[in-house]
Order: sequence, then structure tokens, then C-alpha cells
Amino acid sequence: MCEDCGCEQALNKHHHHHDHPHDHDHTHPHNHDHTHDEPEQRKLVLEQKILSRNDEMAAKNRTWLAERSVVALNLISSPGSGKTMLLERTLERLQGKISCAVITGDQQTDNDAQRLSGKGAVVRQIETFSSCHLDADRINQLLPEVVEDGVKILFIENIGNLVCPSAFDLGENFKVALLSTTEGEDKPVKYPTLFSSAPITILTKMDLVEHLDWDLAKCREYLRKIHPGVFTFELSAKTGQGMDTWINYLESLVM
Amino acid sequence: MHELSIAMALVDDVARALETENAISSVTTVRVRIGKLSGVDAEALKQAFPIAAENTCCNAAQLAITEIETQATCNACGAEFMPEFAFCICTACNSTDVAITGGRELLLESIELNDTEQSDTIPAKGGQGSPDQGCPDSQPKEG
Repeated sequence: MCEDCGCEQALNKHHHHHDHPHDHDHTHPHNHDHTHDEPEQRKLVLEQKILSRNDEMAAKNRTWLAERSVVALNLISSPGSGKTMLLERTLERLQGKISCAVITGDQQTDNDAQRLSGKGAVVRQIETFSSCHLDADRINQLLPEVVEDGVKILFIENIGNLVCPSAFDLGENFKVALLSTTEGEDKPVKYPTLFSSAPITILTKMDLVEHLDWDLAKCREYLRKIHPGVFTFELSAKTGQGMDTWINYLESLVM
Repeated sequence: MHELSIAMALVDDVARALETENAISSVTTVRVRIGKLSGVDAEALKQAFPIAAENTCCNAAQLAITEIETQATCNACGAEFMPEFAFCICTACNSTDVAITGGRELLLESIELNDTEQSDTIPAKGGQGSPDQGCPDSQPKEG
């Protein structure tokens, strides 16, 4: 490795650093007006977003959905916080009223798609295998077959992961973060990337609060501090507590 | 965990920039700016980069990362401040009505190249670069 710049070139190839003058204190019989093919250091200033290709595809998805008046929600949370359960109850409540579609992602199995089927919505499972998030390209491939005529809401259930999915725009209208009462009230400040960017946070499994050492006031305070103005729902998909507000909100988005 | 995907997207962006520039070159340095709220871990990205760069135009490149602190503006008093992470509270007036203005960056800032000098006899593309120039496979791989 070159000791001057650390580049690997010096291992097998002579190269120049042009941050010093080329002083030649010897005389020789030829002049210096020849061209040579020694490498020249050059800098390209780009200042572009790293995920520009994903962002371009997300923009396409967003336009495609907007042209069809479809509202798309990207649900993100840690595994086991109740995304699928909430979607099950939501689809049941909206069945016959609002036509919905679901894209659900997991590393493996189509268990979630099976749980969500038979509730009036077209459901497609994405198995990402080694990947920890969905990206805009995968969504783009599925949109035409999952969003049938008349669909008003597309739910995208992301891979259970509080960190990675928040970096990838899928073309959704907005992200929805879920936080279950069994996870601890300080998750918003532990994982600020998601909770500071999702305009909506749903507190799930509220029916368990009485059995847990979990402080609702503290959780609300953490959320407000990390994301002043965040819109929150507090519900239990299992008992139905708080579900009316959530369903009314979804209806207001498309009616 | 998703830093390998980010690294592959980065290599892809560099390859596209080289195509645009019609450059016959090997990349020596890739400079990026990463905000503390971007969700990308600088150390993990450093480790992922050589894996993503293998057999691409970035094969011999070093990754230089500048981390950007979170910045905010208070909507109540107008103060600009660096929030005491992770609490978004104005340090001047204690208002929670603040807007994040910096820290979400995930930017490819610049690349540094070893260009072969151009002359009339050297074609603009092909023939002078090293065998591993360019990115034959610039499609994103599984991450």
C-alpha cells in the first residue's frame, strides 16, 4: 500500500501524487513537452443522495399511486409489536366499506399473508430472505397486481425492524410507527430515526398495560420530546379498545 | 444491518457518475456525509464498503466518512441549536416546537480519481484504463 495516500495502486503500479512539485535537479538531453499516461488525481464533486436510485423508484411508485388516488401507509416496528394483528382487525373493519390491498414483508414464510387473506383485500407476501428491509423496487414490481381497480388504501407491512426500514423510501404517503406496551416506554428515544420521522405512532397492546410496569405518561413524553407534533393512537387490536378512532382516521383519509 | 445495501447503492452511484463523466479511471477515494439521524452506522458502513466494492470500479477505493450532527431550529423563538440528543427541546426557550434541519443526510459528496491523461491519440473511452475499470454489474444485489 502507498504510504502517501494509502491507495492500493502502489502494490503493482507506479503512480504520482501531485501535491508536491516535480523538481528535477539534473540536466538531460530531452525536453519535457511530451504527454504521458501517468494517472492524474482528479476530484468529482457530486453532492447527491446515496439512495438516489431507490428514491427515483419510490417517486415513480408515489406518482403511480397518486394517479389512482391510493393512500399508501408504510407500517414499521420491531418484530412482534402487533403489525399483522392490527392489519387483521383493520381489514375486517373496513371490509365492504373501503377496498384495501396489502404488501407484507418478512425474511421468510408467507404466514402473514395467510393470516391476512380472506378479509376482502388482495394480499401479497414478499420474502426478503437475507435482507432486513423492503425497498422501492420490490414494491414497484408488485403494485400492478396488488392494487386492483377501486383500491383506496395500500398497507405495506415492513420487515420487523426498528432501524433499517426507516432509511428506505417506498413511495408511501407516510410512515406509521408501531410501539407495543411490552417493549418499554423509552423505545422512541432509543430508536429516534424512525420515531422522529414517522408522523404517526400507534401504541399497541394497550390492554396489557395493567399487567405491566409500563408508564403511559412517560411514553407520551418521550414521543413528544423526540417528535413534537407526532400524531398518536393508543389501541388494542385484540380487545378493540381504541380501534374506532383508528378506523375513523383511515376512513377520513379516503372518503 | 442495512449498511451493506447502502454500500452497494453507493458503489452503484459512483459507477453511474463515472459513466456520466466518460472517465477512464480508478477511484481512489469516495467521500460521504452521514447524518446522526440517518439511521446509518458509520463503522458498519466502513466494514460493508470493501465487500460491496469487490470487483467494481471502487475496488481500490477508500471510504472517507464525515458525520453530521443533528441540528434544529426552534419555531417559537427562532434559535438554531444542536439538540441534546435525543430530546428535541429548544436550548434557548425550552419549547418543543422545533424542526430538525440537519442530521438526516446520506450524501455522496465527491469521488477522487486517478485519471489517465487524455491526448489526441488516446480515445475518450476504452483502451487505456486498468482491466478492472468500470462496474460491469451495477445492479443492486441482495442486501
